[in-house]
Amino acid sequence: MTTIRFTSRSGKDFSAGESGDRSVMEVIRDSGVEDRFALCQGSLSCATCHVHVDPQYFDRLTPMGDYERELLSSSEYQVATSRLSCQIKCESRLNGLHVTVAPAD
Amino acid sequence: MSTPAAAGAPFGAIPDNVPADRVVDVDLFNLEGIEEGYQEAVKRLSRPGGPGIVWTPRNGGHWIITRGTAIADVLRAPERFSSKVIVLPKLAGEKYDFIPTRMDPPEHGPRRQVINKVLNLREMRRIEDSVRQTAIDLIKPLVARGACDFSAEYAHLFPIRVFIAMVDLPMEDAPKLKFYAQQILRPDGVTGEEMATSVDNAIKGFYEYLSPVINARRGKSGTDMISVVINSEINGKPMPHDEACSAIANLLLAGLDTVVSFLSFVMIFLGRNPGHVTELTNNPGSIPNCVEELLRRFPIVSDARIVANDFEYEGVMLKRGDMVQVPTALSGLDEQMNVDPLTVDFHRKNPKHNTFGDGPHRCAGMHLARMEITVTLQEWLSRIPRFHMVEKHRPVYSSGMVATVENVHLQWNADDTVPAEGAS
Repeated sequence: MTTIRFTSRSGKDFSAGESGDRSVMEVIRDSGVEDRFALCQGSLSCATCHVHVDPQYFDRLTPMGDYERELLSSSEYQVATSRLSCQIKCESRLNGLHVTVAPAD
Repeated sequence: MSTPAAAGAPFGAIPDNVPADRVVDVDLFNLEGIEEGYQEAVKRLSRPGGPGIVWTPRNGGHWIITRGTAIADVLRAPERFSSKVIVLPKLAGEKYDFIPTRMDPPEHGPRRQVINKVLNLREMRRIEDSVRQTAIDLIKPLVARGACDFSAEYAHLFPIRVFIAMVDLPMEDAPKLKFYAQQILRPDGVTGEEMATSVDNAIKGFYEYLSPVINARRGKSGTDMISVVINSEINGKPMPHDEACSAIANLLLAGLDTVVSFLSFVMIFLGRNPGHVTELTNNPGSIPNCVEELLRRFPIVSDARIVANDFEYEGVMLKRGDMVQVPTALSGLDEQMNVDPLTVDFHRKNPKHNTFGDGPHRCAGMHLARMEITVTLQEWLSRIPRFHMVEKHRPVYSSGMVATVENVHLQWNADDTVPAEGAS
């Protein structure tokens, strides 16, 4: 079990125990707290599952691909630790990961 | 299902790999019950406990995916359900060569990335104000009239004006381009050969029109959508001329027909459901979320895939080269995907749908479509907050790769409208 923590767009904190084959996007989506989130459902063709990753976890993530970089650059809310949560698997080495859902573009 | 009629698409032979109990009589261009609504007619294809895939001998013979929960899986499996042919009937589909829609991974990816570049959220933010102005310019003259054919006087004009501006082409060319798009999506003709000729002519029309435009913009620094796409590199090399024609024709095909149709479906619904209109006017901030529920309830696209290799699926053997129709409407309207799916519920949490498809070919224009729909509702409802359908004019539905509806007569009391800004 990997503990994944996230703060919603409205500032509420959530925590979930996850297995490694799911993505952080699925965790956030299935919590049902966000509207218009992950509109492409993980097919890497929008940027609506954009999260800001806490800096202490950022370097542990699998590096970004070109598509993800391009999609993120289209967001008005991109920061240095921005990622698309559909590209982050809930692996055990990320236990305790905390992300904040970026505002909707 | 009715017995084969003399009219409509010819009824072909049933191949050996199709079990008799999977055969239905469905003409995708003439759906049974469509006079009551396209989505309702598609929903009839799927029955609880029924098979997940059926076969119709119409339109060259093809399978139809009928299980809503399977739509996304099929679209996400290009190695089995290939995009080499996506248009029905297959004879016509073999003429259709637009990229990147008829490519599979990995060749699809780099070309799709070029298209994403002109349709991403940043681009949408950049053009939103002018899109909004286009909507306002069309709605304003209607307000005092108290009635309109929404399809002819708004839906057919708005997305096309937006798109023609994005590609920087003369507005007077729009009818010709729209005609070509329609001849691909709902081709003239009854037999496969006739439809193949219609599709082929439309594709040639697109290419003849676009070839000089692309030559003129090649190597220049234009910022319109055509210039940006054709001056992009694919795997480090300039885009060849024929690929550029094909990619731009693909954009025009997608941009000139789909939102046109969707907006009319939405206004028919709102014109019959004043309670839903009140929900939107009481809380305009909810409109973007409500658009998502409307997208779920009124899907219009139903393209196809070609079977890449023989394999077993849902209890039948699919043969390499078989065509499989994928009605995206069945996913959002499936009871297992969404509770009470025919009801429009603006409070539904995360409406699930495949209205924009799924997998590698998920609609590249989805951000534009969402914006056009949202802006239309915002600008319409802020001026015409109460309106109704004029039921003596029946909407006329037609089906194909993209379903459409025409003759959408709306009426309102001019006293209920909001006067134009600046009017005394």
